[in-house]
Amino acid sequence: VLFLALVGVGLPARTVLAGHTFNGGDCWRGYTPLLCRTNWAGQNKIEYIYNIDQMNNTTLHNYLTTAMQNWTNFSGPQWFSYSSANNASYDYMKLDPNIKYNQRLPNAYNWNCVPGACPDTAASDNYMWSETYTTTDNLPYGSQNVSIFAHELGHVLGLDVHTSAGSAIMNDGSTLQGPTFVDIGRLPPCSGDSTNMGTRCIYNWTS
Amino acid sequence: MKFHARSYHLLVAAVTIGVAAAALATTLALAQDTGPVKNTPHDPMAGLSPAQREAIVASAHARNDEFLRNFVAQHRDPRSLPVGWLDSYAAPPASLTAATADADLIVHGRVQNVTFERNPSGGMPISTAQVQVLDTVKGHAAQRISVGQLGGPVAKGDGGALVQFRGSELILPGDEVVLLLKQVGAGEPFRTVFGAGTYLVRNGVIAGENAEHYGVSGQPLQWFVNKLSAGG
Repeated sequence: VLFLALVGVGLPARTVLAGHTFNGGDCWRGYTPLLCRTNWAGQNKIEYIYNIDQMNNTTLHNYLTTAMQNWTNFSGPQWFSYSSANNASYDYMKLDPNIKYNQRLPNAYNWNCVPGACPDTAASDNYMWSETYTTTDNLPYGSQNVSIFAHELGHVLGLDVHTSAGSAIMNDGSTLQGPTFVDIGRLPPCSGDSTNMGTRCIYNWTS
Repeated sequence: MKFHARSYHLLVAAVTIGVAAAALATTLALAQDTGPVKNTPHDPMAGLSPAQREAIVASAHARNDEFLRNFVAQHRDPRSLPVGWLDSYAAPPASLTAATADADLIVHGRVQNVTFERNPSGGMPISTAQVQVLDTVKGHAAQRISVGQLGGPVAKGDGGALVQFRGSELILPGDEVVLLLKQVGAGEPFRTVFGAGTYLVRNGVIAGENAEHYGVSGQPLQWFVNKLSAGG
């Protein structure tokens, strides 16, 4: 079983989801939500974001399911669903046993890749997928793993770390379990300060 | 994830803002003239089979491994690489006091050598430093300890980069350091307290990313050691 995020032609507007960081990975700061919006508007594609073969752990799987559901349940363009496709992967959730090292909070990181190398920030390169690394050593932290996955899924959606005031899953170390209006962004999309821009801006969501 | 090349930071920022401004201007212009913008989807993997995508992912990992292997074989200096920063989920401790309390061991020392290994998972390289302990501020340490971090040389275009986590600056050979460390397990390298574990000593004063975060950059070494001894 594979998770995927689906963007489909002719589907209701709310089925829009996901993409990758673009030209440097920053879709939150420095007005780059507008850049992502420009490049991602109207995309219709399938994004495979979870390969169960890469993380064969039922408990983590369930936490990830909850995190995805929390993004789906929040009003906005993002939507996650299952697919029966096999052995297909684009964005990955993976295990990295080397991040077990007793860090202050359970840790995870995104590692974006291009054909030549990962990561690569040359302006002429495009990020082609992201690999989210976490670890089974986070299991004792229980439901905070939902926060970890929800945060990393925000990166997959194109959001960077959120540094402005306000409660957001994209704050480093957030203990929220899903997005807030700060992560989704204000209306109209792309209005106001760039630090208030969220998925509404990136995906041109006007509702 | 956010990745910055330190040496290109200003240039990239300027280019990014410029491109973004141009894109915005274009977007607004098009929106006025032709209605909602529908750009060509940016999906460089569109049309590829899952196996073809997997092959691209594997080739990127292989290139990173090859770069690291050559880098080590040629005894290249990691300081010669531009630094790239990665964000992670973890937030730094709320205060230096909290970081000090969290540390099992605090030492003043000098980095003697550092080895880099590929990460079997495909993620960040693994760095292991040998540190000569000059002074122990908290806990008990041998004269020489191992300190593990994630990060190291990776392929980046033609030149490579030294990738490391924001908040966990890599320590390199020759560095004089103050380290806040966690004991992971018997026989395993110590780990820096994430976001607060690495302080460089340059010309007798404290420096580095963590030092700036906690407002101790530029303070004398002894002042900093005394502060840590008092609980941060």
